[in-house]
Amino acid sequence: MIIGELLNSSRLAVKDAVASYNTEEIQCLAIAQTEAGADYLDLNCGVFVDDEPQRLIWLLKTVQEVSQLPPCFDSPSPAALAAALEAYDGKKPPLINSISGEKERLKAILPLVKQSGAGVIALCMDDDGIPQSAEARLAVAQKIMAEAEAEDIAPERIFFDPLVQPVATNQQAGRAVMDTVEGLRKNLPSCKMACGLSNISFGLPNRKLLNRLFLVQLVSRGMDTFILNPLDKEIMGALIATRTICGEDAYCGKYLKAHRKGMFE
Amino acid sequence: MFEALINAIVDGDEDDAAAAVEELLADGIAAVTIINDGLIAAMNKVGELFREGELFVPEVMLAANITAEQIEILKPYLGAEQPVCLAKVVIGTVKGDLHDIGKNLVSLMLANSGFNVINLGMDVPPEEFCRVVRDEGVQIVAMSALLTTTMPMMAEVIKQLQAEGLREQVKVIIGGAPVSAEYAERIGADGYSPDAAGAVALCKQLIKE
Repeated sequence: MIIGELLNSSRLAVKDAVASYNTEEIQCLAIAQTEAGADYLDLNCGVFVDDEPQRLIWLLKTVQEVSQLPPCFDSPSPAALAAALEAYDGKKPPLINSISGEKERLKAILPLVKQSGAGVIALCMDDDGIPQSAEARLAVAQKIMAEAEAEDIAPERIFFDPLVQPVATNQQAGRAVMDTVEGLRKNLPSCKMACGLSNISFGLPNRKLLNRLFLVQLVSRGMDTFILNPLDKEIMGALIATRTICGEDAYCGKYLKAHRKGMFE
Repeated sequence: MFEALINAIVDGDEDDAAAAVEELLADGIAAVTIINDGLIAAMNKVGELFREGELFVPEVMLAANITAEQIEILKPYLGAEQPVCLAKVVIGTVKGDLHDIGKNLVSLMLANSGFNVINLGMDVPPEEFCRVVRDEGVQIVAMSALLTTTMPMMAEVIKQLQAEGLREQVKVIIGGAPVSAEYAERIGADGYSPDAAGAVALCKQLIKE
């Protein structure tokens, strides 16, 4: 699945649009991402420190007027998440982005997950920061899983994020994510996984090439959801083609449809 | 005289750099001169090339690591004469924030450009910044935040510096993805840099003032 990443207030154009309640600008981005094949729309109003809940609700309502896609509420603030979940009246369950193994965050947000029936992205890190090894990240995931089970949250609702870090500053960063994904798929097979890609290429030239090749590695190891820009034809094309190669595309239908749409030109 | 050493570091060639340092020592050049005019000059060049987009992050890190190694090798040869210390800098990622990649790069670049750097790591509470300013006599406070939610903590540090009467004795600089020059101005910081090489240039400029 794809979580469209564009409606994020740390992007200047979106920040301005939300600040000035520019409905048209926001709806344009929502429609474009929906048509490009996103499954969820990430909604982030994090830069509005003073009135994040109100901004997030406005963003949600504005998007819902033009798109049926479920939102992915992107905030570490329990207050903003609670308000947004309350305001959402769509059919499909939304996503919460995110929890982690950090005790306070888990304690504050897990009840919201339980109550709302939403899915949730869970970062494989805890109060000690981001573990370097795949084993340690897996251990954090298992800890989160146990907490979620105690709250009766089904494993299918949890999307583990293995946490992509730049290969420029730590040459084992890509490997660690690949091994984490493999480990998660093997040990927690009912769970889902989600991550962004662009961190991998920070500090290096030709970033799009690295992002794309990293995506191929992750799909082949069982990563199922990406947070990306669905308007980027190259990355979308790479994702579709990789899934075809990995046996996830019956009769190569999606690949051929994409070809006819001109995705590979 | 230092060309071979500088080139070796810029090229990220560890063996050549070690050989060049050895040769300079054998020629009777003082360790302090090798550091100031060789190693620090090399890192300045690396910073410049990084800013111009000629060098990339891993190359800067390699050059910085080679430089740090060679400084260690030269330390026993340093007598009373110490290498230049442009200023003492305390650096850290603010409380609640666990991102340290960019911050560490800035720390490395500053350390190898002649600054004495105290790196406090991540998740650093305002009191800790204040304590170091008070006890260690630093001239520059450098803060990093990578989250919109932890950004306000930088303003908090400045407030606490003010409350403790320490603000006037230091320059405060900030950086991180959600941060901007505009934000620096708003919270009363003295400067902002979008990247590590810029941070070095910024620190040099601020200590001149």
